[in-house]
This record gives sequence, structure tokens and C-alpha cells, in this order.
Amino acid sequence: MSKLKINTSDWIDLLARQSDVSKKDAGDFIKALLTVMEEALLSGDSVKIKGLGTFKLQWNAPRKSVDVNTGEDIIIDGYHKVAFTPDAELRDLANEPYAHLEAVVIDEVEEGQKVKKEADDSGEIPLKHFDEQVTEIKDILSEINALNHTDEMQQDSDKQGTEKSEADKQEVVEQGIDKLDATEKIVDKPVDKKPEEKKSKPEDRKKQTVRAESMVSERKSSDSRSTFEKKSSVYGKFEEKAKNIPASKSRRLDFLFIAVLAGGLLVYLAIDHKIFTTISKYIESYRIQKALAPDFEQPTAPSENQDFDASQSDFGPIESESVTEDKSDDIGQSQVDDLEQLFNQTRSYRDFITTEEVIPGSRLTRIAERHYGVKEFWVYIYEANREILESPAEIVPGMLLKIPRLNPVLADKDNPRCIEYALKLQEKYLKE
Amino acid sequence: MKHKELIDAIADKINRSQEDTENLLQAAVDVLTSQLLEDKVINLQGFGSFELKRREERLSVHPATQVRTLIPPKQTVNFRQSGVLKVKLKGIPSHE
Repeated sequence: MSKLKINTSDWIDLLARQSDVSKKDAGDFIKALLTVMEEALLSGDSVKIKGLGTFKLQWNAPRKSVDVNTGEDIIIDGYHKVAFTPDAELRDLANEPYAHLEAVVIDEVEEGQKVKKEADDSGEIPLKHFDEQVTEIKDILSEINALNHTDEMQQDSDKQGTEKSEADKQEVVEQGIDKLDATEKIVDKPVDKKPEEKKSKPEDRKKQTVRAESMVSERKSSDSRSTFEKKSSVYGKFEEKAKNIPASKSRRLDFLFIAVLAGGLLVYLAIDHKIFTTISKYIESYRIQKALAPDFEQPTAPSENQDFDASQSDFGPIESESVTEDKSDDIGQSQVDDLEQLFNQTRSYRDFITTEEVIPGSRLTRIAERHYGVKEFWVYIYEANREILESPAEIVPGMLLKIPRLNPVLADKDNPRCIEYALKLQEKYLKE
Repeated sequence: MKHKELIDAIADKINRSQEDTENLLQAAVDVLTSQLLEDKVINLQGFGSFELKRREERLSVHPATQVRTLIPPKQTVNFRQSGVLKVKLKGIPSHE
């Protein structure tokens, strides 16, 4: 749609009609006006007309460019240009249709952006936190190692004394496999026979319990869940008994600490195998721990592990304990756990809604809001574009971002948990 | 060149009184702006053209405070010089 055009003669006609002068006079006047203005401009002067605006000369400096046909560099010569600035009156008149609009300060503009900025500004602080965490973790690890070491030594010394009785025990254990309560009693009995081993009782007894359990689990590997429950019930009793022995109380506490740590780790591994859907709060910290102590990581879940070695079987019962705990929590929130499972799955992006070019002023959060309705889901766009985006802040105009199609359950804008999870991811990525 | 000076110069050229010239100029400007506001393009041969143009809304960020502001769209008067004038202006030495 092209606009209606008016040329000089139309202007003259209109002027003649309006001001009651002959067309010739009007024409003379307009011509004189234009000549005077041109002369003034050519002499380098500016021209100001009331009710219209100012005409001014503006020098455009020469600049480099490229010939689009030949690809050669060319220089565009500098030139003068008549620039026109409408005066306030005309400007307001021209802007009448939009006069009611006012500049809006966008302060709720994406808290994510602000957080990002802060993170950029204070790049050293997260690092410092990380350092502290590392030393903390190292301390914990060295404690664990020291404890494991003493455990082993004690177990070795026990072994010599109990070798014979162990053989007996195992026999009995095999008989009583189906009745774990019986196993427990039987396991206890030989220990009580040996008063000289009082100090190392918990470890000794535990080892035997584990042994019995590993056999049980071997036989009942088809139903690993029920095995875990049984194991834990055994463990619970064992724990009660252990409390009755005050001499070993402090050592028990230490052991419990290791047990909880290891339990968390194993639960995490179990989750990896999608056996259990619950996630413990400690997972994040264990991830770091895992990275620092790769020897703790055993890719196979304990229920699948046929030849239980001593160090792993140490953690067996505890692991089952925490799993059972989690399971009891599960009953009430099975729907929530479907989400958790979804969150813990590694997301891969193959299905894309579209590819979007980043324009100046564009942000991941804005793009996310446009496509998913919630700005928090920018993390998924970021995840889908990791190969081109090193960090969330590195978005530059011209970039082609792939917009993934998200699982509607995962990116449910009405579910606060989804948003909470997205925020958790955001925190993680901003720290990176 | 101020408004008064312009009127003087034109009055000299067309042999009219300054008052007449001022009225004429006022009328001419009124006609021009009213036509312009009707969304018409005014093309003055050998000089240039006037047109209403819409400036899109944009986001501006205050460089010091980082406050982001949405600037609404606006309509402005745009002047574009004619090719003839541009050639004539080439005669002026650059003021560098």
C-alpha cells in the first residue's frame, strides 16, 4: 500500500486556495522559499522554520564497504546530507496516535537475568564456595578411609578367632534362610560365645549378618525389593541390639555416619538404573563426592552384584534401610515420583518446534516464555543448545537456537514442582 | 538561519512585504503539516520529501543502572533529501 503523494504543484495549489493569493504568487513564494533554503544549506547554514522544524547539514564520513557483485573492498565517499529535525509542535502532532503510550520500566524482567548478572559480577564467590566444599569433602573422605581401614584390621583379627565358628554359623544360616529372625538369633549366638571379642562385636556381627543376607539375596534375587525390606528389618534389630552395648556406642555413631553416606550413594546408583524413583536431598553433594572419589562408584547395583566383596557388603544393609525409608514415603506420592523419575532421566532433544535466530535484545528467558509460557523453562532450551552455548550468558544475536518440544508433563507451567525443578537447574547452570 | 532571517530573504526575492511573506510562509507550513498528518508523502522536486514514519518499539537498557525500559513505538516526520540536492551538496568541502 503506497501512500498518496503530493508534489510541489499540489502544494502550491493548496496554498493558493488557503491564503487567497493567485497561483502564480503562491508558486513564486514556494520557489523563493526553496531557493533560499537551498542557498542557505549550500553555504553551510541551518534553516529553522517555525511550526515545521530545522534543516541542518550533516557530514557523513567516508566508510569502507564491499562491492556485492565483485566482493572487492570499496570506499563510500563522505557526503553531506540535509537532516531534518521536526520541532516540538510538529513532533507531538505526528506522534498523536501513539501519544498515550509511555515508556515502561521492566523491573520484574526476568529475575534469571539479574541473577545471571550477579553471577557474572561476582565470579569469584561461587569459586570460593566450591573450594570450601572441596576441602570439606576431602575431610569427610579421609575420615571414611581411616574408619574403613580400622574396620578391616579389626575384621582381620576377628577372622582368625572366628573362622571355625563362622563355618558353623553359615551352616545354620543356610538352614534358617527363610526365617530371617532365626538367622539373626543364630548369628548372634556364636558371637556371645566369645567374650574376648566384645569390643569388635558390632563389626563382627554385622559381617555375619551381611553374609547371611547376601545369601538370601542370592537366592531371592528375583525379588530384590522384598529382599531389601527383609534386610532392613534384620538391620533394624541389629541396630537395637547394638544400642545395648555402651562400649561400642561411639564407634556405632561413626559407622552410622559412613553408612548413611554410602546408603545415599547407593540409592543414587539405584536411581540411575531406574529401579527406584525417589531422590534423596543429598544427591547433589554426592555427585561431587562421586567425582572426587571415583573408586566409590560401582556401576552395578548391589542386588545384581553376585560376588559381594567385603567393603561393599558393609554398606548392604544400610542401603536397604534407606531405600525402605524412601519407599514408605513413596506410597503417598506416587504421582509426584513419576515427575521425579522424569526429572532424573537424562533429557535428549530430538524433536524441535522450530529454530530461532537470536535478535538483539533477545534472551533465553524471553524465548522460553514465548514458546512454553514460562520463562523458567529456558534451561531446557539451554540444554538443547549446549553445543553452541558454553554458558547461558553467551547468547549473541545471529545465533540459531533450536527450540525443543518438551514433554508436557515435564514442562507443565501449572505445576509448581516443574518450575521448582527448572529453577534448580537454573541455579546449577548459573554456577557452571 | 532563523525564521526571521528566512522571511527577510524570501521577501527580498518576491518583492513582498515581510508581513505578507510571513503569512504566506505560515500558510504554506500549515498546508504542509496538515497534508503530512493525513499520512501523505510530500515530495518537493529538487529538494526532498517529507513522510510520516513509524519507529518500532524497542528495549533500552540504562548503561549505568541496567534498568530495562520498553520504549513505545512512535511516529515521526522523516525528511529525505533528493538526489539533485545531494549532488549539489557535494560541492561543499568536508568540514574535517
